[in-house]
Amino acid sequence: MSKRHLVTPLLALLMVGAAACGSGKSSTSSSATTVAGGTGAGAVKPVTIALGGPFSGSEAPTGNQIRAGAKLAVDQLNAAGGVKAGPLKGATIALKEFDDADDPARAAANVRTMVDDSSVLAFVGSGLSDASIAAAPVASQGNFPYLAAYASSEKILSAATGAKSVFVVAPTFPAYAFSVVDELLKAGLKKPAIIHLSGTYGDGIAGLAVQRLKDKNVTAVANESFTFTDTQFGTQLAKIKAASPDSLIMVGLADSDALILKQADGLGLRIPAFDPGGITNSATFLSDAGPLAEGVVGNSPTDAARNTPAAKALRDSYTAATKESFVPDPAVFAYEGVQAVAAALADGATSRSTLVDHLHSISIADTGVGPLKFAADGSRIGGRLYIFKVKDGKPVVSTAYEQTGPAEVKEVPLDR
Amino acid sequence: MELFLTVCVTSLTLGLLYALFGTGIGLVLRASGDLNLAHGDSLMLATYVALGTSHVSGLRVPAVLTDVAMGAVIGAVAFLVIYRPVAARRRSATAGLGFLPSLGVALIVRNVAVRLSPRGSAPFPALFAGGRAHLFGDYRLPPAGWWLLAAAVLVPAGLAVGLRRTATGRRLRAVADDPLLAEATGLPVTRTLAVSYAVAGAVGGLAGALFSSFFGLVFVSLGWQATLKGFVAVILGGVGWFRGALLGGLALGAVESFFSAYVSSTFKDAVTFALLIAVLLLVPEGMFGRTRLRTV
Repeated sequence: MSKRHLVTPLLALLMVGAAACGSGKSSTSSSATTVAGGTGAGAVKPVTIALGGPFSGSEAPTGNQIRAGAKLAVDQLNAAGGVKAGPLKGATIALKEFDDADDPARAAANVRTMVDDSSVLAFVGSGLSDASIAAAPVASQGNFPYLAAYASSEKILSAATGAKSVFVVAPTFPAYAFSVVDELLKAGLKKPAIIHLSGTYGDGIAGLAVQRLKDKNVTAVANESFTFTDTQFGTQLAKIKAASPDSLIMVGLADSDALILKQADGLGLRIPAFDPGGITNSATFLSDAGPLAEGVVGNSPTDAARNTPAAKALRDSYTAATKESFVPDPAVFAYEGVQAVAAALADGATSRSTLVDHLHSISIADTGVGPLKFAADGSRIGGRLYIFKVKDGKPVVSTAYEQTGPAEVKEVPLDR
Repeated sequence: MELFLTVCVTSLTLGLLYALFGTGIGLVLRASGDLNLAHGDSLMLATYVALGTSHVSGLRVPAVLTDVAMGAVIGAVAFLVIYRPVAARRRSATAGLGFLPSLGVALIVRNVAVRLSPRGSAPFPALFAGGRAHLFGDYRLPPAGWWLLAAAVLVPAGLAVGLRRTATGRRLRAVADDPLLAEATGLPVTRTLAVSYAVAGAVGGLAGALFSSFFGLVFVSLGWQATLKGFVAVILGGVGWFRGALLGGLALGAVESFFSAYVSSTFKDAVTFALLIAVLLLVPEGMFGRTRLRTV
């Protein structure tokens, strides 16, 4: 085969590689569809919220959960008579859907469309952090209320360059990283090693873990990375083993974390494992890792055993609406995002700019997973991260941390 | 020392897997001149079907055979129903886009798999006999390790012998060398190429079963990884002979593993593709290959 013959296959591989990261990546068009709404029969015009996320491509399951959570919140609000108070009292809420296929360029283009569409009041959604990091500057330039649900990187807020209109509903990466590192240190472990996925999520959480360890005068004895397509972690784990760590911090995805545990076991590297990324509290990880999941310590923004009226109501209504036995994180944060917009409208917001101001002043005592209000930089105050340890194949929550500032957490009692 | 030995074993096992991925890709590339971009996704889908067979039957051998058979069926059907008819209608303006049908099949298969496996991965049983072999220190070779070694050597060797010693193999070589002449002399070109896709798919199915047994998981992204790594192995080793895929796979595994262990795991993929580009520029026939230039 000549060089000339190889050019076409190489081009093809580049194309299929792009497609591997999410279908429809080359398209920047947005398809808008109204997926829910109230009766709209009252005197007040319905309020339209843009719902964004990866509704197609490999991250479509996350998008479907975002849709389910947002739709549940809208249905509940509309069934209760729409916006509770304020000038828009009685207005129903409708969702207008924008698919970004987990493609940052498409997410940014979608927000550009929303900014130019005067019928859209605010945005709730987005799946992974890269899409929100790309979209946030567009929203902030247009002073468009943008509530990132599920995406958790603090870089979403820094990408918005100090504007007030961008919010992150979930606890941010520092809260995720710090809560588990604090638990590791509480256990008396002093020689952790880190293995992490490359990219915004993995590099971000791992970097914050290193920073937290350093703040507590502890140094990671090894810090290895891997890529999204890796399945063989033998070399990284062998290097980690050679550094004689007493614990392993894994920042990967559900399947890669399971593979890491399996391969660590094959190397005889059997040390306590910690997941600061909120990944291991998933059926996928528990199933993929099997018995090796036992003892893994991780965190989760939800506690299935939380026993407040709002928590029970959220669980019961989500189960009734979706037949799912638990509320997944993307659904939780989309649900909270819509709740936050509704609370700001009830607080007196009537336009995009006033909505931004009111979002900064709302305080919801309990959304179902905890209290919700926003710090000046748009990060969440009051977001909980529940620390669990896998026991008999199930995550057992032992304590909770609350985000008290853009980059600070404190341990709080469980709501049971 | 344990680190070095671990890297050696990791390098070898990765290389053998890449070689098996590349064997199927190389066979089709040699026979038809087309890069089958659906090779990896087809073997991924076949492996999910094998997982289902394993769950239903509780037996290992039928599951492996299902993987092999499904790989062959997907390969042959995709060729006969899609690739061949599209190629027959291809115009000169789209002559360089012969890979598009297989790209379409890859994306369709991947989207179907995402729907069938919303979690994106599933635990996979050890389909090959033998437990984890203790090699050195604390290191234990994962299940299917020895089977992988045997398959990666014997399958390319068997294919090479088959190409030389069987009537189908000779027809395949004739079609590969000059399809127009082969057709003019009455050789069943379509059937011969369908056989090449089926055999490549079967090898892919076996690779999928070995890969998933080795790692204990099957996942949707396996398809993309198998296509990418297999293609790189073929190009590094040299298109047109089966030892190329084996040697290219081993070279790729070694570069990835040793660079990751002793330099940086962060830039492992960048180095791999830099090597690929260097090979394309300097020795386009592959590091271990002999080129057969075709005049077009």
